[in-house]
Amino acid sequence: MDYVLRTNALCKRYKDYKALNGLSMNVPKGAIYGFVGKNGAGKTTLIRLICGLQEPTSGGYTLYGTKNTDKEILKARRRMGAVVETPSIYLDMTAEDNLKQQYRILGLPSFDGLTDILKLVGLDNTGKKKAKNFSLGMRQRLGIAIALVGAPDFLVLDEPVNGLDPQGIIEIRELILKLNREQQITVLISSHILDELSKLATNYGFIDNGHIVKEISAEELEAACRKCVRLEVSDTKALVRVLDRMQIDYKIITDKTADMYAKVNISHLTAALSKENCEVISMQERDESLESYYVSLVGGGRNA
Amino acid sequence: MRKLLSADFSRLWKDKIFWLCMGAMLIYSVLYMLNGCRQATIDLTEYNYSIDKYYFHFAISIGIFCSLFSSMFFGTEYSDGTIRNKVVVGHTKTNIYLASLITTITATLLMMLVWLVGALVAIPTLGVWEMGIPNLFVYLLIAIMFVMALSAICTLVNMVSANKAVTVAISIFLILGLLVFSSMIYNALSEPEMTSGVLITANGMEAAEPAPNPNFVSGIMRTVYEFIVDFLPTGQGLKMSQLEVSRPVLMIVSSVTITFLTTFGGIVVFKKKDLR
Repeated sequence: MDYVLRTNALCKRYKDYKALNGLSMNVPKGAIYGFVGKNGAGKTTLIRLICGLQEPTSGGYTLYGTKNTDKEILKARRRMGAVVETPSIYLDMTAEDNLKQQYRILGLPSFDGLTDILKLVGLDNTGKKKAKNFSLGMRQRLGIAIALVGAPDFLVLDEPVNGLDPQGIIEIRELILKLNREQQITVLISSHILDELSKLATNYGFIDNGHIVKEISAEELEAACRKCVRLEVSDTKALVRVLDRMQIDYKIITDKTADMYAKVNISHLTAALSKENCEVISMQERDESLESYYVSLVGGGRNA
Repeated sequence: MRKLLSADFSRLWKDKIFWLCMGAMLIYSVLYMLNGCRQATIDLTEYNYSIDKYYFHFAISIGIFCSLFSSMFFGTEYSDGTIRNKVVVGHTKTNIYLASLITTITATLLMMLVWLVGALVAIPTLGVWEMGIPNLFVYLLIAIMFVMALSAICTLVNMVSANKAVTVAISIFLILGLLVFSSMIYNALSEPEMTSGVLITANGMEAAEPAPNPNFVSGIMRTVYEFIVDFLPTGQGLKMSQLEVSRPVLMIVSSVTITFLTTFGGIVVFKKKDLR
């Protein structure tokens, strides 16, 4: 498999605080890589490192196969665009002038494609309106537009839907999907809104305390998040015997509860449990989501 | 680097603060020179006025304009986060720093040029430079070099400090501080060696015997003071405005040294700086 970005035991220390602690992750080419973690888990720090804004304390990464210590990394970076935390835009300039500025920074010979980018992000009708008068969503889209100048094939978006209204969230989601599907742009996206991320991502990386807890593809996650029935019973040992006999997948949660991954005839199940002197106290159909998967991985508690 | 300069200059030509500084320099220059013309006309019989006396007055204030403009202009790169756009697409921090320095030098030299052109308004009244063209060029060369040194100092502050308000404050106070410090040293050097007071006697007022001035700086301290004034760009500005340039080579070498050291130090710090 081709990878756009691979990090190897990446560490970043700010005085006594270890923001990244041996982080290793792999972003496959063509993926929308959802980067999930609590506040302070190290998401933005990682993005700052791969964007070259900061240097790792130890460890390293490769971008398109080029090591971060290699001089060629500057050329590799030319193929990426990024929106780190807040959109990097000149507030006293129009959307068009902001894009022109980025064309100059990249040294592009003409402003060809500028209108197309503005259309793509839905800012083609902003005219002489300055960015300081834009809504949060418009600024976010302008930030993405700037990141798209120079036709990058790797886009890094740090919390792109933070603070947006529902309509803004939908617009950004559709834009990312469009860029990924139509222009084959690989996207690394960090987000707190797990439900939103689940509608986009093809791959996930779960980060906690500065290192990756789990990397998983959307297919694998879907399999892991199977529909299940949560049973509360008086005796889980009896339940285990019955489910084993019925060849049903299950997971014991506590000494009274278990998740059962199959649709079964409830009458048969309760009858079988009754023979084992086990009572069924409650039964609830559950659909494990990205959020519950995340919570089971990192323990929940604070904000995701 | 060329790409960064193109981006910085295209922003410069549209920058309000830059044009405000240019306008202020022009108005300041014309008004100051016209005031000089008026004084010269009134006092014509007593003093021999020439354009030289007023032409280099900009040397005192150019540092303030440089610090104000550059801190506002490059502070925006941090406050709007746009400095990230340059790093993300693969520009080195060294090139970003040098492009900022070149832009600051160019903008400050343009402000100086605006003054010099505006000041020509006095020629019909005060005539041309009495110092002669070779001397004029020496003065202008010194001015260009200390503008570079001032720009290098301001660029160091602008690129190392990430908070726009703090950058503006530090930059302006630093240049003002240097100006005050240079002026204190310059004033100390201007003290006469001997003073002679006036005695009021029964016969009326009589001049007292000259006595040594306790504030006169002599010996090694005088050498150090003289070096400081000639070394600091603000000190050079003061001497230039008073037409007292005595060691042009030392001044030029000092400016080059300051420019080189601050730029080298600034690049080292900026390269290690964690951008957010």
